[in-house]
Amino acid sequence: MKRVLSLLIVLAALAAAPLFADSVPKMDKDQLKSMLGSKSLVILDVRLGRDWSTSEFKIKDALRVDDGDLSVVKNYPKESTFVLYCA
Amino acid sequence: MFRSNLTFASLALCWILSPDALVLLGNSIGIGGLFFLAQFTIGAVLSLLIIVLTCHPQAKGTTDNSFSCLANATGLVPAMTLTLAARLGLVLFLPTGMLVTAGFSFNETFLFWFPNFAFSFLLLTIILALHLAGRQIALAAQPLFIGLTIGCLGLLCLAGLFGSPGAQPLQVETGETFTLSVSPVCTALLLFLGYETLHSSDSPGSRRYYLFVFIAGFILLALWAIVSLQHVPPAKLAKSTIPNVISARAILGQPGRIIMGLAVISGTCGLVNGLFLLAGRSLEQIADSIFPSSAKGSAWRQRSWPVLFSLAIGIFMAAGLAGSEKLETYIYSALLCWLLLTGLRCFAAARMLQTNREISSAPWYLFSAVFPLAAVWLTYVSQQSTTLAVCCLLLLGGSAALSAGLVRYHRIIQNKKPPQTQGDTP
Repeated sequence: MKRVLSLLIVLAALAAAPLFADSVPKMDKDQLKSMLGSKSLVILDVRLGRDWSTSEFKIKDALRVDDGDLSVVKNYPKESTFVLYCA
Repeated sequence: MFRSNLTFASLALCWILSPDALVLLGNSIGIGGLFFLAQFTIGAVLSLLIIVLTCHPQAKGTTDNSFSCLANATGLVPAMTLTLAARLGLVLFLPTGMLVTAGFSFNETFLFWFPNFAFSFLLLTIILALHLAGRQIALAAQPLFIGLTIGCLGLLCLAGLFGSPGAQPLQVETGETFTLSVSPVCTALLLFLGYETLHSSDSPGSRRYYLFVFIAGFILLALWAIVSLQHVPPAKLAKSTIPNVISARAILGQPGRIIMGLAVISGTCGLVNGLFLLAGRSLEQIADSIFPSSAKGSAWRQRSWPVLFSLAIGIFMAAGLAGSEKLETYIYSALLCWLLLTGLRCFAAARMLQTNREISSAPWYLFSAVFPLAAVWLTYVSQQSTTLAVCCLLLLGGSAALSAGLVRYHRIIQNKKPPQTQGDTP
């Protein structure tokens, strides 16, 4: 019984972990629209598989990130604004 | 009779009119241009021969159970292995991807605030509900789904041919010469999968009707390919992951998108419903062949297959399989297994033809070899040939192990049965 209880506590802690994570700023489409064309803006399309391939909407000049590999950001200055587009 | 033929024909058309088949056609026509149409026609003629062979009155087995006929002609384990690999592989992986496609189509074309994932689950629930309501209801719905898809594609074809000002005349680049390539013909064979599900035993005297349906389907797809080429540059069609949507948009603008959105959703419903019916029927027939004394065709057993399929598909979707590139490999390997099953069905029909007519069926045996050869070729030329081959082998190996296990279990049960005495027989 104790083991089951311990397991449940661990699982609950894991599930709640995102609550304690740093909040990632979000941006709506109008904000993004106003920034389009800026040299410091880097849009990363992080959609995978059919989420990307069957979607009709793809932002022009967005970089497609394969298999969640974000190493491409190293090629840009740190001051750049990185926008991750997932839906 | 007509209704029965219509239902079986709409089952056979479930893959060819699906969104994935339209994408495959769009990419192929983009790569090969007008020359692909010629190779597409060769593939169509080969596929037409499937109906000529499997629906031949003399190729009819001794029972209405098409799996039993296949097993009698080719052996129980090979028949079961290929049937399970093709049907189970397809019914689990193809709807997982296709429902997600339909979800995106609905979200991006009709209601952007409605979550695509929720729509995918909604479609799955509707199709499951049809099957839970009864097999007859699901069968009755199939021609409606396929009819709507045909209507949408037909409308876009007509608009593209006659009503749209943006059409470009079809032309072949100077200097280009036609060379017969194997890959486009094999791709065409892959596109025309499904006609092996038609049998003369399904509805006697129906061969002519099925041939008509095949030719009508071929004309529709060929027209769609021509119209796509007229309105969209081939390079764009070849590269796009949604060539069908791009063509529809180029033909009719926003109304074209809506019509294609409808075709994608109804095509997905037709495919998922059709695969549930085909896979359920195959599993029923296998169960009837191995365990004839079990509850034959009972309502609860008929309803249990769609529940199991839906559960597995739901888990795959929730686990994010559709967001993984692996899903495309799984789907492609299941389609290749379907090609192998088509070859085996043709081989079985050729054998029955030889038995019933007592003449040689050598050309038909050669014909049945085309399909496994096409599957091997498509694996060889694939960009991920090793992964694809491993996937196919795993699918076939798993099905073979399951089949061998079931056959062995069946034999043990048979041996345990007490021998019948003469007095027991009526």
